[in-house]
Amino acid sequence: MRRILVIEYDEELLKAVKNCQIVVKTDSLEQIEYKYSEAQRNNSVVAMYVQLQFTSISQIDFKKEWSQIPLIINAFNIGDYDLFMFKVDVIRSLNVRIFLSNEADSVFTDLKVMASIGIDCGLYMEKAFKMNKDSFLDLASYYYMSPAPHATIEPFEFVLRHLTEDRNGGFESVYFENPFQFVRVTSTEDLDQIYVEEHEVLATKLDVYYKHFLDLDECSKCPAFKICDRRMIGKLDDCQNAMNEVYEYAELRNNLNHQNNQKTVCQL
Amino acid sequence: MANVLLTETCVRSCPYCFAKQYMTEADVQDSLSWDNLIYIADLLESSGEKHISLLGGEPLLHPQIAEFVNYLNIRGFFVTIFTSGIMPDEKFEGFAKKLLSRGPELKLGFVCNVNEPRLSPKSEIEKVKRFFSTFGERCSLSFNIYRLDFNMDFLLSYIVDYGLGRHIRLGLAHPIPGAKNKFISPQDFNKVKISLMDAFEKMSELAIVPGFDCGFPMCMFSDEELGKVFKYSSGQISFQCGPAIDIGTDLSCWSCFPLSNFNKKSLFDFNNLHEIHDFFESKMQEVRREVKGLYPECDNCENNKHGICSGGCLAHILNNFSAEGDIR
Amino acid sequence: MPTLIFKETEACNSNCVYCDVIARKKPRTISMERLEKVFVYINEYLVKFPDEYFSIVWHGGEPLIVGVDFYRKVLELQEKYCPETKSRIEYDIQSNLTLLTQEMVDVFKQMGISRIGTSYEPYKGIRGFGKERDSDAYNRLFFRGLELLEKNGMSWGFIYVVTRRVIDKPLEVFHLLTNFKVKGGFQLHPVYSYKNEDTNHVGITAKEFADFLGAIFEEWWPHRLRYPFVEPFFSYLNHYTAGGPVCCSDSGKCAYSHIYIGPEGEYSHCGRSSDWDVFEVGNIDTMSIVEAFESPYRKEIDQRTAYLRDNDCKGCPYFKLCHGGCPLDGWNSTGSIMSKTEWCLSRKYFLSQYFEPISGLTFDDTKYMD
Repeated sequence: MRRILVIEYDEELLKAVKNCQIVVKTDSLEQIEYKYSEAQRNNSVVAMYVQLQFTSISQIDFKKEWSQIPLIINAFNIGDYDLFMFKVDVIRSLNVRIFLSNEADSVFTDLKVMASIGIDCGLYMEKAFKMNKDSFLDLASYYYMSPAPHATIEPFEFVLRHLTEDRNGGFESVYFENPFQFVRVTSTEDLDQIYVEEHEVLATKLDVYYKHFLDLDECSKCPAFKICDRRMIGKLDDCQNAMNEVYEYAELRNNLNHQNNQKTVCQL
Repeated sequence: MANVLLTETCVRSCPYCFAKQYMTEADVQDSLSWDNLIYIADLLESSGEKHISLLGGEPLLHPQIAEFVNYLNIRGFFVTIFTSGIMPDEKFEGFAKKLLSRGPELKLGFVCNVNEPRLSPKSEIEKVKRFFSTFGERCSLSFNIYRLDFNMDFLLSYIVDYGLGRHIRLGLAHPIPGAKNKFISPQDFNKVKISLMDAFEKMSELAIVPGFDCGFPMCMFSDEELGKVFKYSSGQISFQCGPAIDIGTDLSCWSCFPLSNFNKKSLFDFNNLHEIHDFFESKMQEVRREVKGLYPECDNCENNKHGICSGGCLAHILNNFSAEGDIR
Repeated sequence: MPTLIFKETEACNSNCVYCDVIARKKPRTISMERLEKVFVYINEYLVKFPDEYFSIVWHGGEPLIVGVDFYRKVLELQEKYCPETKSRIEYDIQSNLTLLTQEMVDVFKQMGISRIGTSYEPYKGIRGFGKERDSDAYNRLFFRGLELLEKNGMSWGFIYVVTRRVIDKPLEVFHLLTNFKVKGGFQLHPVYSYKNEDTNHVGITAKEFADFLGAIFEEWWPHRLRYPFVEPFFSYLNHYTAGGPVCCSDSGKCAYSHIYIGPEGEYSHCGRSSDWDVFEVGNIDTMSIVEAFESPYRKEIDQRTAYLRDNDCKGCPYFKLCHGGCPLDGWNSTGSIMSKTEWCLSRKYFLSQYFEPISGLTFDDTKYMD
């Protein structure tokens, strides 16, 4: 099984990779066009994943010339709203999804603002940082129930798109962390991993999955297990009730979409 | 269209203020949050609205007024701000710069409610003039009549001197049921009318058009005067009264400010603007079924029967009832 | 289409706290000679009834304990004795999956089996290997078996047996099971014990089962699109809204649809009737399947529905939904199959106290032919 490589931008490493689908991680937007063209030389670039975790969007100098680059940006927050508003037109012209950190106080409002003006965005959940549950649920409620059209916010969009699938899965694919789909490559030695057989990956994943049912842990009894898959432990108080509420919202939205025959939007 | 309160505090203390009671109860910290603005914008957009009015208190006191305007423009709304034009000096320059740098993309108009200079502090007048100098072409004027000795000449001067919009929104100060604000009693409407007709003549010479806010009864004008008013206002005249829909910083909503305590609801009780409008319209009709208008003659008035005139502001009627106990 | 419940072995590698089989019988496995006879008789049946299909359900004990060679032999015998009729033979299997191998899966695929029925118990000490009921070891192998099925594109559904040990946690059980199998695909059953011999004290009363189902139904109903295939709710909903088919035990028409063959060639009606020694039918040593279908006890079962309608079940608003239930459940409480099911109270209570008030549906028996 050929999985998508998640690879740090390194020209030597890129030379060793051919005919793969890759996600390229970099910590700067400098020369992003050059990096993209280098990465594309022998491979198919799924996304340029730019890590700017301590940078506000208002500090980023977006360029119209990036419109052909599939960008995922991890930023901190919007920052100066006035400066941000001037950048909106350019941002909307790009193929970009902007993740904001759940450590930022304003993150939930920032995401609503961005989605409401047509910018695809997402909540990046740092490890073991507890979010305000009411604000999180308010964001979910906004996403699924707002009567006005808006752009997508991950991971809520992912949950909605995969809601009726006959599988448990959580939403780790949004962050390129699904071991079925993605494999991290930091050196040429890691390249062998991309050829790991599907059943080996399945075995590893299922060991983790079935462990819930052997241990009969709290997640195994959680009504929202299907959409969460443990990702929210330690990130929300009473994560079970919170994610159950998210599940209910998503189902309501799904039912309304079917009633209205709305098409889903293709996503990165 | 809906009127959205950005703040619940004001820079003036106008004796006629119909928001006085509302602001008395407000916390000075209360200003519209981004989350609530987004909720309101979603509701309006899904109701097919393209226009939003921002007011207060004094909306320019909101710390993010410029960002709100830019945000609403990006979402496709034309924004009208109802303001006194009075802003703290240290904030005015930044505010002006943030808005005017958007250039022709800025979809914004101001309706400036001004008081007679002879009745206003000098510092207020200076600030108002500064506002007109900066935003003149985007401003039109609003004037509330609460004294019988009013004089509107200063409005004409403002328009001519600062190139303001050639339109004046005229309001009659109405009572707030249960509160103590200055207002014009219906018995005095005739006296107001005399001064208005004089003012309209002067306005027409300068091609300035008057507009009536709700609450003027048709019968305060003779047929001949109605003809003139029709001409002066370029045919844009109405004596009907209906819900204006005001939305508070906490997402409560009511029909209009004079009726802010009358069947106040939450936005969450409704799915769209039409439902809100229909709800308050039905509540107003409940009262009008009992009392047709300001005067006993309203009961048999043909204009009232045919919906041409609503019989004046409901606030007068409810104010009479307020002594009886709970507002019906 | 008649269904043969074929218990080729009573042997089982699991020790389930509610199981009757091992408690009462020394495990036996069918001999190859008898297995051959079965296929001779199947062919005879299918030749006599050219429009019929024949369904064989491998049962146990644990059917996989006999090993893959047994099933290879089955295919050989089918080829040898049913060359013209094999296309009308269908197979199913009920297994605990702990002994499943890729080889077996390959053979099952040749048999045309695409789905396996199983059962699952998440809580410890209720089912497992050996006297101590090692649930961990058991479930690890069970999961491995599931993985094998999924890897081979085969589907599966399971039964969950409700015991006294879980009666106080219906919602926890429900969420566990639906997390385990998304969208449902399981049946909730009470413990069935022979003449209520409940040596391990795991049995539950009819009302307890109804209340257990009711607590879950309250959660299931608003989320029925999320977990559609949870029985008995799905079937009840189908009955109520579309007059859909009932299962064998509620059809009132199982007299000529089922047959059982045990490890020593003994005929009976179904698995439980054999475990409980309810009917004296005969043996394949001296009787063919065609003859077994003509056994006189079937007439009695056939008359049961009409009899109950005028007696035990007279005036019951739900009669057309259950037709007095399984004859064996009637026999278990009174000694006669002409009695209604001992689980009648459970069903009525569940439907009238939970299903109908929560769903807002009422049973319209005019939808049903009798």
